Amino acid sequence: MTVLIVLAVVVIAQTGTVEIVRTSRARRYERPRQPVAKELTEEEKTVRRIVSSRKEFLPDGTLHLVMERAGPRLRQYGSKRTAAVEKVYDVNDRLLWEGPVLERPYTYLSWAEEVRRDSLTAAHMKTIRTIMPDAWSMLQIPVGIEEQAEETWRYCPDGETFVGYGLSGQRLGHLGATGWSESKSEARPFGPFKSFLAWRPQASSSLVLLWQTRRRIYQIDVEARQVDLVYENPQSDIERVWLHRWDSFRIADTEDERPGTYRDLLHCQGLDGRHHVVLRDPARTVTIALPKEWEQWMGNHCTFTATTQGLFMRRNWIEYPMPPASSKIESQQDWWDEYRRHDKTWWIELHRVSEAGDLALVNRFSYLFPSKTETAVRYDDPRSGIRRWVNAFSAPLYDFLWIPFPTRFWAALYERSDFTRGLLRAIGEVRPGYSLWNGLVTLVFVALTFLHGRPRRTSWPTLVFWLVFVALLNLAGFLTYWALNHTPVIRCSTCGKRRGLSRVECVHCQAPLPTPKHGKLDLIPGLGL
Amino acid sequence: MRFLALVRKELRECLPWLLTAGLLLLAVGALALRAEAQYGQPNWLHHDRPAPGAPANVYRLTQRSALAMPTVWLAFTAPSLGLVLGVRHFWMPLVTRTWSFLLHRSASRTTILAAKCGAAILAFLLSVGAVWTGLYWYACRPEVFPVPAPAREFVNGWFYIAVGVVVYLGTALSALSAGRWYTTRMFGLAFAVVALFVILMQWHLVWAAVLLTLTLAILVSQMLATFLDREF
Repeated sequence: MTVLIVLAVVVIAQTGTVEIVRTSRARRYERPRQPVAKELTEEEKTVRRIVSSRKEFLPDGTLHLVMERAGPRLRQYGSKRTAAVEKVYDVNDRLLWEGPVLERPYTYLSWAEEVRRDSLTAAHMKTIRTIMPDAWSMLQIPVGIEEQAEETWRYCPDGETFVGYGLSGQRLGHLGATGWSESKSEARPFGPFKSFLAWRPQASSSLVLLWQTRRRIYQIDVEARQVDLVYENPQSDIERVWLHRWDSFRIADTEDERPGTYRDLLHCQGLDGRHHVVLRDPARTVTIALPKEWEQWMGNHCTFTATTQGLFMRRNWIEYPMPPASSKIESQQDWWDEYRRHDKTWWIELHRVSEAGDLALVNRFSYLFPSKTETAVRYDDPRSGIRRWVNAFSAPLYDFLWIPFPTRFWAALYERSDFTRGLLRAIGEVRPGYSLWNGLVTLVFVALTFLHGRPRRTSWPTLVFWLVFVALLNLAGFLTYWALNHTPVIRCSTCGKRRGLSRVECVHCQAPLPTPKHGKLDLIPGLGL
Repeated sequence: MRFLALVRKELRECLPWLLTAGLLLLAVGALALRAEAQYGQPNWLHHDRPAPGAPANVYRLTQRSALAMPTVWLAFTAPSLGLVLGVRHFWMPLVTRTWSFLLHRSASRTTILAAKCGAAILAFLLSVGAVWTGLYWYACRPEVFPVPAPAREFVNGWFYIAVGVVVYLGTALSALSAGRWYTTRMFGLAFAVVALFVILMQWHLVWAAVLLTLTLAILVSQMLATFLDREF
């Protein structure tokens, strides 16, 4: 118990010191002096316009560069851009059309969007399941007619099913992976929850859920008590999900598109890197294995759409290699500076995807993204400097957690347990990292322990245990040793050396503790009492 | 018989606190449940219903149960009761210098310690435990609340009560420690407070139960060793 508390106190003190130093050294941000802006040449203006324009594909694969008057970055989420004025150029920079958005004679392909922004994730689900009273809550889906709730379906995380209740308190049954069932024993669990989103279908007051577990996606209509397995990946966990015109989801955002042009599309990316596209009308799942060499390029990103003419994939990438996997922030900043200094070629490609998942390039376009001439703002974390000194007082035992023995033991625990993840992250911040200063500080504390413990020792094995203990835990070990072993010492009346009072005989000369001399004040003089 | 007599004596001494905690929780819980039954009927669709095709705000679909307010009070009352009982059982005899009277009875130290801890656990069960069970039973009545309180919330409540026992043991250990208050004396209480937060921050009940068992084992073993060795 003592060692746990001392370890916690030392870690808190270390973190506090680092944060105090960070606060005291934080400097006001000063924008670096920029060179005086010169007049752009026509060529530079063209490059800038191409860079900042939206790249849109027509259904036949033709690429247009679309400039908005206010600029694409000023577009707001959910707005229909009715007031915006656009200029449409072809890839040879010829102006094709100019006017209000709603009057534009071209209809471009729209693409699936990731559902993460609308989803409740597993992390949030864990938060609302914590035992802490102000965090704990339940997930309940109301089902109603007009504005009045008639039923409530509550998600039971332990059973991984929904249970329904009516207004009069009667139980309406259970919703599980196989659909509705009357009893709990018949309901099959959905599986480990990953995320879900909900939307209100047309002509209904209730919600439809898209429920993602580790390897499956279900569509749950709580009002109809219907559960459909939309997608299952038996090989790999699902990492990300995109939707495009799935049922009536976000139908208002794309209402300007001609009905019947697109097919419902659900795009899943697995942890194995494979992309799976689920289509409806007719139902079909297409698996696409992208070439491995694509992953080496910066900004490599693919998104899909399905029209009545076929399945298409848009790929964006930058002709610049990805940064090396390095955890050091300094090397990341160096890489970023280098990246900014170079001219880069950006690519946008349109591929047609066959039924078998093969890709056929339809069109591609590249443009130059000029290097940044202004000085990049480097972020120097003041914590990294002080942390080296503060972590000199950390326990060398922390470094043992980074020894890969048994293989992947900690990594597996890190992925599986939130508690271990939090613990390892906290330890990762204060671990000494086999530093020389940490070794020297530990050596000093071991020496102090020896000097303190030698006269107070009750036995050599006990003292050796404490020395090893301090060598493993550094300052925390020394404080623990000190708290549990500090006793006063006296000078031995025989050998004159310092000795503790835990043992009757002196640890140096084996002489017993001195007895008081008999005197006149003894109660019973003969017995020396 | 001696053990039971000691338990009765300890219960008698902590009766005012036991009643205060139980009645406080009962009063607040009953008022909160009554208010919830009258005004908290589900009609969420009126405010939160999205437009057709629009995504719902999924965070608004997470809701507290009718027992939310009593739960907060239980989480506050149980550790407080643990603190008060720990002070009453182990610190007050030091202040009033009555340890010697107790230890010189014809009962072993282990019996005395077991009687104190047994009385404390009984106090938790009789006051906050019984009231919490009653409140949960009321929140599950279908004629009052159409959607009953989930069983998980009932289990959570018992974790708060168990955390109260942890605080009790930590206070007792601090009281029994012979160290100075600015050195190791407060370690028992500090350990209990840290354990309280770590246990309550868990979302998996098995992990919480494992941590709770470990904490109780550490505190009981430390307390037993300290109490048996200490000279009063």
